[in-house]
Amino acid sequence: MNHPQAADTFLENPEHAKWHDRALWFVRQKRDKASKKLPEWEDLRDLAAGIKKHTLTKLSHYLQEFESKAQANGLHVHWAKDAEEHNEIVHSILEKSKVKKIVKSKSMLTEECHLNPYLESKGIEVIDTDLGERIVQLRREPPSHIVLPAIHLKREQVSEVFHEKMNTEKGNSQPEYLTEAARQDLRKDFLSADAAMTGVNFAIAETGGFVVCTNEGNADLGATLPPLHIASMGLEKVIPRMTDLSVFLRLLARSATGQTITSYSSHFHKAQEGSEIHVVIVDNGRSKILHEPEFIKSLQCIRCGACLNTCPVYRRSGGHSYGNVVPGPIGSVLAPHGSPEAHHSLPFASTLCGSCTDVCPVKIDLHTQLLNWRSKLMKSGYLPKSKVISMKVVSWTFRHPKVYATAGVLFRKIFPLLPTSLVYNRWNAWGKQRELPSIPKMSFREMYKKRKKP
Amino acid sequence: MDQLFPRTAMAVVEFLEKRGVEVHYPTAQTCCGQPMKNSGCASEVDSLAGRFYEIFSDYDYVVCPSGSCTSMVRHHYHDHLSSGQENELKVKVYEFCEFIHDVLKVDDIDASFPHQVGLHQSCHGLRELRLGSSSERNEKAFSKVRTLLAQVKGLELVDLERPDECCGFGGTFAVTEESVSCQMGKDRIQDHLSAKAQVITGVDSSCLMHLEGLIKRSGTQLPTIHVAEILNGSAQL
Amino acid sequence: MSSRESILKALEKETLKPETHPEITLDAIQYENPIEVFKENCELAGAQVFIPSDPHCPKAIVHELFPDCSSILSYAEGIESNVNLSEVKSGHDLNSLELTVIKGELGVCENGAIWVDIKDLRFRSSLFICQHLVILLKAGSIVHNLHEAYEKVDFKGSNYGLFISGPSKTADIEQALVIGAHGPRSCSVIIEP
Repeated sequence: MNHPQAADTFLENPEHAKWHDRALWFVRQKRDKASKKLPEWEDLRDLAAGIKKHTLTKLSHYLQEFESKAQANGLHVHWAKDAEEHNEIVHSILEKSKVKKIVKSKSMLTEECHLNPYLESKGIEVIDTDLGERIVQLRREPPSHIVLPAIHLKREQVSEVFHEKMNTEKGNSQPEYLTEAARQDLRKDFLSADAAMTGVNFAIAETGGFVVCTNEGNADLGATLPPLHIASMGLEKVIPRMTDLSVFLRLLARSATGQTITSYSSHFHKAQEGSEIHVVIVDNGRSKILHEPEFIKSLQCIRCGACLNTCPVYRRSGGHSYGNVVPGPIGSVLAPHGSPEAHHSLPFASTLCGSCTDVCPVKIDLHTQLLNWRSKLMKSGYLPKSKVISMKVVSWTFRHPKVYATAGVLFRKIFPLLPTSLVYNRWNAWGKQRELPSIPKMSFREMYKKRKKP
Repeated sequence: MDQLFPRTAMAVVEFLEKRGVEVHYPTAQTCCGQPMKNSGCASEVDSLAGRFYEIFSDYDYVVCPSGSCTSMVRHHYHDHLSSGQENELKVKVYEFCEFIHDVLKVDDIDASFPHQVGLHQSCHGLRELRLGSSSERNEKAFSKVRTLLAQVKGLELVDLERPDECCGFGGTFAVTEESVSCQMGKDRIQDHLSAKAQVITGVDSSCLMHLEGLIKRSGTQLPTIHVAEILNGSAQL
Repeated sequence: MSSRESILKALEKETLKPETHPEITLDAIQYENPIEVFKENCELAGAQVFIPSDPHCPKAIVHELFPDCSSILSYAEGIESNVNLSEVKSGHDLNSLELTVIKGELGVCENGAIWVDIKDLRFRSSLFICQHLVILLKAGSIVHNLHEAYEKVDFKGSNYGLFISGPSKTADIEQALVIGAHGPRSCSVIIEP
């Protein structure tokens, strides 16, 4: 299914779509409120973009610096060239320690690598502990947002799956009750897990440490109880210095949820006594994007989700309509690299309104990248032939002004005479919910020619 | 504009001529190529951009009553023209409101339009040409269009809940993502209705056309009129 | 070639045009009344804040907040633990921990966050597995913004440090804020003079 078809389905329930739009707009408003409290907000964005831009020009250097400092602190560092290798590495680390069950906090990278089904096929139980992730895991569906995984669900739907899987009270959909139930249930998993996995928000080259930002306490409970902690990171997550964190941590939570900072911003440098920390650095196509000038900026992304919250298309079509682990504007920029055949409709799932570019804390020119993708996909032959041909015809007409003018005259004479049934039919997508514009008697060039000059 | 909104273009011509500007309409012009670029057919833009450059090379300024077309020429011609040609065009192509605000610095608008008006801030004009501050950015509020409309007697701008959300036109998006496009448009219209707007205005006819299409189909009374016609005093309700 | 080598080689395929690392010099926010603002932002993050004038008060406040506390682990001088750490073999043994009391190194006005870095912390989970958390913080250690915080914190020798802002929380169900997710249900901050 491509985006337009999936969006059609989503909008078949206009009440739900409206509710979804309002919920995400609310998050966008919280972001606005938080950002406007800092007069230096736009300077922070410039700094963050500058730090990321600099880092990308020396990515190999900073990754090696991170690795050597991390290793000096006793951390184990692994490198995975793609998703498959990431999963194999994670599995081999777990297997070595005879791990039967892991607790996992939110990591878009592990979603990108489809780690859960891989580990499950190897007989390892995976428990997602972030409340939103746990909800969608129990419902056997992917998250619909990179920060708010269950934003597409109403409390009644959560209540239903909790009743089915955790035996909570039928019909009790109070968020406090459901959260408490998840707390009690997952506490048992934290205590019985053999290992934990987290993502990495930022890896710091200068010290070999990494930072994980969360609200629920699940990442840290997981990372500090079992004796094995695996942290997976995309290789673009490295930043040069500790002081750089001051810039990113001021931007991240405000952009994501409108909070000034998450409850926990944990800086891991060394493993706890008797424990191990493994960091898996993943490429999975990032090194290729690094050398594509049109798209390199997308590697600056800190996965805050602000572009999703502001995108009028995402809000009205839902994360699942993108068919990609990361949806919304940033997802539409990243996905076609991996599989253009599956994701060619995504860069067109946008009006290029530019709101995403304006909210991005690291100033990625998202809407320009979407436009760049459209040309690239066309050149690679992914555009439907009908579209290409019709554009060629129109373009030819525009190159021949006399033909254009004549076509205009004919159109204005004939169109008003056509019967409604011929004009409004199933091939007229414009006309499904809109009237066509009224056709004026004269074109502007005709009016201009006829007028008496002042 | 030429085929569907001649009155708007005429309003631009009249407004400028009244202020002593010598206005020409080169009839060889057809299109800046934006629909092609937006569809991914960038190669079709080369010749159209070349034509645009040739047609307008002799003028001091090129004034365009469309934020999206102006943005196309100013920001997206770099792949289609030499840098010399691109730079030449960049400094002289203006959107209409931008031109009369920044260059002519018009302060003598004597038009009258005693209605409650909802201003639809078209995205290209707002975020690419920076005709005004966008709600996403932490910047001092400003709006060239509002400043101009403030000179119109009796005109009251209503306060929208979402002052700069996209209407959903987006070029071919309006057809390829029809359901989302229409939902976005309907939401904009509802915002204007809730704010008690009697008229919707904007700087891009394509946005207005899309909104008008939805309004007419719904049977609601809510005309859409281009800002140029209001400023020129030639708006017809 | 190992994956490490092939990845680094791929990254180094072409030299990118150098871009300097920007200096972090900006007019970052300053507050006229830092302690009030810090308190306000802590409370917005879901914490309770106490500003006693008496330096002996923290103990009394803790006692008042948690009168019949069955299990307290304190890393702060002046507040006693009733958990014998020498009997604790792993963090799992702390599952019935009611209250953990810690000292914060510095507080940040702009977000109500407290930098916590307990030297020789054997059981990191004690900060999360407890039902309630109390943080003692010296008023003089409060800075205006995160840039100042990162200038002050000494990361050399830090094994595991974190900014804590309020209790654990979630809004994953319909954006309804619920205080108390998997970690502490409450966070009480006592600002000592």
